[in-house]
Amino acid sequence: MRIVSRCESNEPAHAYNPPVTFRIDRRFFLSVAQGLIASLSIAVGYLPIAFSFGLAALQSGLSPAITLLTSLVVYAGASQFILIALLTSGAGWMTTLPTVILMNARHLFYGPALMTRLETKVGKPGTHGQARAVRATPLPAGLLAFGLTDEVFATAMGRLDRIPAATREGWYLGLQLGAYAAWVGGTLAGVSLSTYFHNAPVFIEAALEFVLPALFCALLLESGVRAGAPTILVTSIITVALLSLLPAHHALALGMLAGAGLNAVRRPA
Amino acid sequence: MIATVIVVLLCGIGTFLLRFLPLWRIRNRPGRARTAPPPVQRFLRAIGPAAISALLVVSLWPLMAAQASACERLAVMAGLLAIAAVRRLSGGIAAPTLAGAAAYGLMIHLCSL
Repeated sequence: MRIVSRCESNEPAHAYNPPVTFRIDRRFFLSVAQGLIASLSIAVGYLPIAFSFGLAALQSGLSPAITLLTSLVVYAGASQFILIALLTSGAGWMTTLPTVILMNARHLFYGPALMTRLETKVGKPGTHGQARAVRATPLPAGLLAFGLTDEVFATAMGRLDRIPAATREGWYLGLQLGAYAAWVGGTLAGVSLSTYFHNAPVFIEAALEFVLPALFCALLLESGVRAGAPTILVTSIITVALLSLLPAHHALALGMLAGAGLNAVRRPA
Repeated sequence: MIATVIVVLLCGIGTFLLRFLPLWRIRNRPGRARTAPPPVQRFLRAIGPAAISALLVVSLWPLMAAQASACERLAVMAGLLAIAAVRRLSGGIAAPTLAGAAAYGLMIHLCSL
């Protein structure tokens, strides 16, 4: 299957600008497989949380079908736990919908940031110094956006620069697929095995509790602490300060915006 | 039952649109992110490290909160140190993540003895 992607640039029409062909071929499937492998670190974190979600939803009185539907269509960690609390307390859609949307509002910034890593420059620079054309990602936007969770975004931003440009879409698709499968699979396991589930040993429970912080720490080291030190420092200080005043999801979003905002206003070195 | 399904579907659609609309807008104009004013470019470049830092702080917060014991806080430190050490030795993401989780789990187990 071939998809000829659209290129846009400021170059004149006669400038060298070859058509770029995106092929769904063996190399594409190989990059999807590499993305699936990269998703294992997310999957290890997602499985126990999704499992807990399945158990919590059933204990709250939701049916297995609704619980699974929530993980299939909402697919947004913490807001799903709030969603079941609101649903089972009898809150209507006018309360539930804005709460969930507000909790996930930080996702608004993920797509544009991700696209800066997925778009690739093509062709040669113009003879008069014009910029090279930029190739849009050929995969549909819906496919790129559906699985754009915090962990998928963080992993993609930490690692996409090290993936060859031609295989980034496939790699990112594999990353999303693996994470989504772990989330839905973990929920399914929680719903199906709730009656057989016994308390796990302290060591296992604690280790699973630390998987997501450990993943974020590893990703932070991977993204380069020295290069991003001012952003990381400001984000961390503001997030900690806000955590004692606001719910975690608001502190997260505001801390993130403050850290990135500082980078926008400060002069480049 | 049907009302619950509708609320879940609406929440799913709303969450999807939050992820989809900004991405779709940028995707339909390739290079737009790169030709944006420099402050916007710097903002978009920094949003990744900022998001990871904020996620790390928020996920560590309950483990380091006021009610955590000194031993539990020490366990967090042990977990973070294990991540840094294994990353230095082997690199990558998965091995440091699992090493950090194992070190934390082990320390919490020791705390509970």
